[in-house]
Amino acid sequence: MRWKFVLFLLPLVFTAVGTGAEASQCVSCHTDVEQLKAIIKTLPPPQTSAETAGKG
Amino acid sequence: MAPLEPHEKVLVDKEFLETEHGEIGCAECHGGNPDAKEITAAHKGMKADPTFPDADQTCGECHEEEAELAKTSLHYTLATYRPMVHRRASTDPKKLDLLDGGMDNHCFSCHASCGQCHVSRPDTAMGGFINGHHFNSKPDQTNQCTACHGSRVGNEFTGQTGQGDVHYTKHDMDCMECHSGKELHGDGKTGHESRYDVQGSAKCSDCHDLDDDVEQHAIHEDVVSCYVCHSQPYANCYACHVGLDSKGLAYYKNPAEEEHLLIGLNPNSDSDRPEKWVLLRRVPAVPTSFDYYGKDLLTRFDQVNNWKYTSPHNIQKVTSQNRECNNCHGNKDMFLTREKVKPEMQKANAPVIVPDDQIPEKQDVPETEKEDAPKKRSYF
Repeated sequence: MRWKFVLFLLPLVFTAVGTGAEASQCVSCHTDVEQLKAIIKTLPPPQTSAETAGKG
Repeated sequence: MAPLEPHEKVLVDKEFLETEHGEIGCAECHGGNPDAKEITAAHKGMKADPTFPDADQTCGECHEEEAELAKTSLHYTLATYRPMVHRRASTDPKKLDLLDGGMDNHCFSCHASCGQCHVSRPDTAMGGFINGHHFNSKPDQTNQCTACHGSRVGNEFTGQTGQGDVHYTKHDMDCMECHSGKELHGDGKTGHESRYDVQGSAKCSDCHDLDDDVEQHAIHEDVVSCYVCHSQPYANCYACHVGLDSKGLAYYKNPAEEEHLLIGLNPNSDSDRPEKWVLLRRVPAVPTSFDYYGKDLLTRFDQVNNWKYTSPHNIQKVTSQNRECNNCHGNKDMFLTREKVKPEMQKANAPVIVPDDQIPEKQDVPETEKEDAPKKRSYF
């Protein structure tokens, strides 16, 4: 009976690991300061209107 | 508020991954492709702020009540803006369309979401995680609240203009001490005409029992707003104009603010704010504010006052006006009288302008209290 229980658990474990934050490419990039700095250098800076004026 | 470095804005703290929210897969909230190695493919379909305009599928999975209430939160909906501007607008449907386009480009670009109060700086402050994507149950005053409410509330509250607000400077209270989650999450109702209509909005009396032993309180209770006596001069804006520059980017042009303190008639007297005398702040709306989008869009400008009920966040116990009765009584300079309002805006502001004959009369120098009468405490 124990092997049946293990078989039942395995897919659940893989599913949890596969969708968890730690498994994703997002995390490996967004927790890596140097990699982010390098990527930022390749991106255009955000634009704001040069005509904006005043302090209100 | 110091700007964030671009990489800081999206840098996730590894410790966040150990938190309850961090255990949720990124893509579950943000979408995108978590397996893609290449940046464009990884971000395809990704939502940087998955909590706007609807947080049901994200926050709402666990925080059902808050996500539902958020649909009525003015931070989300800005629901008072359009009806207010439409009351001033031309009734020509084509002009209304032009005006709505302008409002969408400007007024409605300024909102807050669950994420922009609990995770990142608001979009209008150029976004970015304030703490490595950790979720903060209370918004951060500097990075979130005053990132938007800065030029008036933030500067006045912290003393960057004036002496600051005693709640902050002396008692170290932040925004959330007065503005509860209940108020900020929304009250579940729609149709608010003003932010002051929101149920649970902060009032002085939430904490302060009016002490009638103070002579001035006994005299002025329910007639004069607390702010009239306890505020310092505050910022007023006089003419905001909006448009798009040659690159199609939105701009706002507003002359420098001016600090004044002016008493006027309460335009929205109700059971929560019944006083006759309140402070008025000039808001930047003028008939030509949306001229970039079309001429004569606000042809009914005189339907709504642009001197508004205000609640400055620069409270002090003792102020220049509450030191002497006659600093207000008989002092026309303290009141929004007709000549202080531009002729073309006098009709719009008629409900709040103080006629000369209504300015409270100058007081005689108080007589010595009768010996047998109990002497009341006084600020003087």
